[in-house]
Amino acid sequence: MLLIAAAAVDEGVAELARSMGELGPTLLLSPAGKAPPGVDAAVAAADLTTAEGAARDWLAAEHMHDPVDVLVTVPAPVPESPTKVGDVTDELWSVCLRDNLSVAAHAARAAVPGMIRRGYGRVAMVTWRLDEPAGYVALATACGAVRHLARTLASEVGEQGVTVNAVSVAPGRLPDAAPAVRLLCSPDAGFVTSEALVPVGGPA
Amino acid sequence: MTTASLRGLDGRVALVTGAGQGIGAAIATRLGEEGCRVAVNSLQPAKAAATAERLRGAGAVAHAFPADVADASQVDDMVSGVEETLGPVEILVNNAAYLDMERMLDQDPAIWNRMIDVDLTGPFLCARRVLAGMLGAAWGRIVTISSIWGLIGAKGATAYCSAKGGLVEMTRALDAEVGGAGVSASAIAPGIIDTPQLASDAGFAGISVEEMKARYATQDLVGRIGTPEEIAGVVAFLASDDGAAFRGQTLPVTGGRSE
Repeated sequence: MLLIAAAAVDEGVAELARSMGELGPTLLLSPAGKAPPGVDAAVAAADLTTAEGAARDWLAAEHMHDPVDVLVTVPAPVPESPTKVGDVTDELWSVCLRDNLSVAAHAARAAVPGMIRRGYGRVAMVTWRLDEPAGYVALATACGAVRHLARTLASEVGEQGVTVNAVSVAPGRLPDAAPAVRLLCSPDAGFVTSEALVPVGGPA
Repeated sequence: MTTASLRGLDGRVALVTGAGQGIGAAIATRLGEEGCRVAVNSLQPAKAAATAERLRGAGAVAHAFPADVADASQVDDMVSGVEETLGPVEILVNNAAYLDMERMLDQDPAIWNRMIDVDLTGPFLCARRVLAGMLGAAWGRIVTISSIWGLIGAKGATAYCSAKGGLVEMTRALDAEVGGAGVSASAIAPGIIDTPQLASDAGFAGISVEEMKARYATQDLVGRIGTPEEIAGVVAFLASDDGAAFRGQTLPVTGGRSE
């Protein structure tokens, strides 16, 4: 089944989940533990922000549901206002890395071993593409790290039938990732891995 | 996990160049399966006819249009034929290519010119011929097959690499010029794919085709070479409504070997 892992579930995640639903049964991992309106997905409460929480909650979710052959990680919501780099606090920095990079890494570490055992898996890590990153240095850094996490993880699991790619969309436009994620998660994209796709309606 | 149906392809007229074998034949087949009415081009009439016959046998609408894409008058006649038989070209897949592996220092300029003519000028001629109709209808897709070798180069293929690299920029510029309002240009850079071309690669390397495949399989992240169907699936995606967000871009389909 398809697993969507999010640090927080907002309307963008809900719309992405609705769009993914046509691919098959969907499981949404989120802290809230309940499905957003209109989303036909199983939901498991999960704290993906720590390795311990992800491992524990993953075991519970995996026990309850079918094996996961597709993992989609989504970025944390974009902060409502910019913060100049000199004003970025330690907490803002670490929360940004945690909710973007750590959530993606923890979810991948939980889901990928089973994919390897079964010899098939698809991982799509969605991030923001910041054309104007001034005031968003922590977010831009975290998103860049997620992209490279995807590209590097791909190099470790490619021969086991698991592809890993990143998809970057304009800030706040998570549903724009849906068509590319559907492609990456389909058998059509078996030879697409370690890429960072940029579906932004123009040159990357 | 199933493949979701691709939106916006059913009933479209698609011209696939170089569809007599390999990647082009797979693209024609996939577009036929998606409900496109397929114009099958090949330099060799018998190969174009065979692919079209096979598509019709599978229930698709398909006709053969043999032509040399490097010849402007033949391209003009080919597209006119498609328009008369199937209707205006709505999807153009620039796939036809010619690669003769040879060291650049040994290369006859005539061979160089032929590769540039087929691999780079051919897509320009085909795009130029079909664009007026696409712009008039406010809908059109031009999907061009570049190559990983257009991104990273390869010894023994300087003309081919030059042409394929040129296609990446042609796609970017073409979309900037005509893209929008339903018309777009995009491209794919395939990695090493299991096609008859591998015989030429093996000949240049002085090894068997099987040895060539094994050697190439060590050069990407998935430990194997790709299949023509894996390129065809991404072409169909780019031609569909789902692929509209990749305007002007070249998508590497390489098994993880794009840089």
